[in-house]
Order: sequence, then structure tokens, then C-alpha cells
Amino acid sequence: MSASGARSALLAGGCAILLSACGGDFNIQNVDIGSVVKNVSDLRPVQEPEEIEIGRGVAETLLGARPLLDDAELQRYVNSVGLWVARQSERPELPWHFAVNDSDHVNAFAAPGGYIVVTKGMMRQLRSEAELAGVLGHEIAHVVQKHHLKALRKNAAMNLLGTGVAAATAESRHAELVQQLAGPAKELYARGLDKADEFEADRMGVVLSARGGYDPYGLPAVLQTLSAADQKDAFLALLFKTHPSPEARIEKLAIGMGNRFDGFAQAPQNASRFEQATRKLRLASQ
Amino acid sequence: MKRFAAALVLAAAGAASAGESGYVPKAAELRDQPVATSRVVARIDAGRPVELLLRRGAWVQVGSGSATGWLRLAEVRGGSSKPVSGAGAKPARPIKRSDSGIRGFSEEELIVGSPNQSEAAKFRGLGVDARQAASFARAANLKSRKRDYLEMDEYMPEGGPPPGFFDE
Repeated sequence: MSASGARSALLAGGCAILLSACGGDFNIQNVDIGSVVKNVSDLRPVQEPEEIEIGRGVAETLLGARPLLDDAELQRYVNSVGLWVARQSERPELPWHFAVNDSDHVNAFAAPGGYIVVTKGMMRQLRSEAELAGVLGHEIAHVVQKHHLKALRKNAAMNLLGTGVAAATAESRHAELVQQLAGPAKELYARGLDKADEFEADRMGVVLSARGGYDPYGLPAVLQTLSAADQKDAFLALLFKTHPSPEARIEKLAIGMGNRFDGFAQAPQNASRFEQATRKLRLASQ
Repeated sequence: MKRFAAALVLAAAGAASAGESGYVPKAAELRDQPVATSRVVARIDAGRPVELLLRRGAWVQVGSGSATGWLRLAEVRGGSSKPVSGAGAKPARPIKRSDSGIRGFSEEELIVGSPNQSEAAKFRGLGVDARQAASFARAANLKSRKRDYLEMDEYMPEGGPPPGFFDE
């Protein structure tokens, strides 16, 4: 067996153990994981419209945990920063949507096709627009590299895009997709991506924010903030479970960035525009 | 000229670190300007606390005892230094939370939630177009620039990965 074959077999085994340990929560006990994993390399590429529909399904699941924050001005602001950074990427024409959800937990999520959610708790940790651009740049990189899509495809239920869904209408097809996707999506977002994907998103995220003209040290500054927090704080538990430590991320970014960005020392951080846009958040928290 | 440079520093610097505490995990040299070739004003021992004053690009202005100067961001950690033995949690920067009940997004809440179509429809209604994003950027003097991604081999230090690089 080749090294990659051995890795696939290990992955399949790990997947099966995870799913059986999760019991009824994920509702995909009837999927024949072995046969699907065997066929993964034969799966046709996921076309962009399908990717966007998968992302829509994942977004429904993420918003099932917490709804959007009711603050139209802030949502528009986050979309402005987000789209400006996303336009600097290799996928500028995706239908990008950014949102702040109503959660005190500190986290941010990307879903396939250009859906990005930042928690209210994360917004409160940030000090400037450059820091927000760094966080969004990291999430945009996950979408550009299709990290979640690839991770979901490794999972059994993604076979549904091949032949599994044969419902009559687009809406009933989508409903079936969401139902089949919910378990694997929850499992993925609770477990997290490979750490290599997170480091890649970090080093792409700083470049995306630099391409947008921002001070590219926004993301390292956020990681420094997170490194100061109590690593056992419940509001950080999911972030810390699903990502490498902030210290490890800062160190790897420092190696990668070196002195290549020293010419950006005067680049805008836009702290005052950020403060203006987030003033309701700050009024609501003590 | 010097005064002009100082004004630029103030204009670009993020003030918001002010008052936060940090420490240096390794011995570091405090410089009088955010420039690698500038004069060393003090040496700080590993584990010593510093006060974070300003951030400017790769540099953070810190106060250490009676000295003030600049360190590279990667030389500074937030919070307090961890005990060498590893026992005990480091004093933490508190996470700000809602004043009226906690709104979670824990692993449990993620797993028990049901897909929410109406919120997702609202989500798809959020967004700006490219023209609006460009105008938003212009208003803050943000200029798009070409920049290559950091390749993996660039991401490594000379001489290959440090010990433990892949152990995270």
C-alpha cells in the first residue's frame, strides 16, 4: 500500500470511529463509508454553483447554532471590509457574503462558496479595521483554497452531489442536501480543519489584507490578543480546539513574513472607522 | 524631518493596545525606533513583563521599567508569562461578554442546532457590490497592491524547518 493509500485508509478508519462515537447526533449511520471513501478519488470536481449551494447549506447549519446579529450598520461595514479583501483574491467574483452572528464566543467561520461568519465575541476582541481585515483574510483564504469543501468531500455524505440527490425540484433537492450535510458539517466545524490548512490560511490571509492596502500585521496582532486570553475560557474553547495555538501561529507567521512587510509600516489600520462601526457593540458590553 | 517622521508614526499607529500588558518570552532588545537598525535602548530578560503602548506594522512600542522602545510583534506575547514549571494558568485577559445573558456558539450548541433557513436567507441578503467596496476603500485611502503569497519554502527559515515545526 502506498503512503497516500495508507493515509486514506487511516482517515477512513478515523472517520468511522468518530461517526460511531457521535451516535445519533449526526444521522448518517446508514452511509457506507468504506465504499464512498474508496470512490473519493473518482468523484468528479465540484462545480462552482454546487459549491455555493453546499455553502448555503453549511451556512444554514452554522446559523442554526446562533442567528445573525441585528445591527444593519455593522453588517454592512463587515461586508465592505470583507468584499474589498476578497476582491484581492483569486476568486473575486464569488457571491461573497459576510456576517456577524449573535454569539459571545470568540470565533470565525468560512463556508464553501464565499459565506463567512464572525462572532460578535470576536468583533469585541478586535481593535482596528486592519485586524478585522486580517481575520476575514484568513477566512477568505479557506474559501479560495476550498479547505472546507475538500474536508467535506472526504466525508461520506458528499457523495450526495454525484448521484445521491434526485429530488424533483431545486428546493426539495436543497432541503435534502441540507439534511444530509448537517451532520458532516457539524462534525467538521466541531473538529476543525487540518492544522496545515489553518497555517496556510494565516499566511494567505496576511497577504490578502496587504493586497487590500491594510497593515498586514492585523492578523498577528489578533493572535497576540488571543494569546493573552485564558486558554481555558469557555468562550474560546471551540476556537482553541479547532486551531493551532495562537503562539504557534504567531511564530510561523513571523518566520513567513520576516521583514518582507516592513515597507507596510505606514499602511492604514483604520482604528477610528472601526470604532465608529462597532460602537453599538461596545455600548452593549461592559 | 525627525518631527515629520514622528507625526507619521502617530498617524499610522494603532493606539488600541494602550494599557495592555504583555511579556517577552525570550530575551529581547528594545530599540528607540521601529526600525531594525535603530539604537538599542535597553535589553529585556526572558519572561519580563512589558506594557503594550502602540502597534505599528511589525513593531510594538512597549514600556519596560523606566525604558520605552520598540520590539518586533513576534517578540511580545500578550498577558503574563507562564510559570516555567507549566503549573497553574497564566492570569488572563478577560473575554468581554453580553450584559444580558450569554449567547453561545459552543460545540454543544453547534451540534444540537437545527438548520435555520430564514437566517440563511437574511445572510444571502447581506453584501455589497464591487463598486461599493472600492468606494469604501478609497474613503480610507486603501490602495490595492500586487503581492505574491508566501510560498511554503519561503515560509521556512533558512536551513529548513525548526525542530517541532510539524508537531503542532
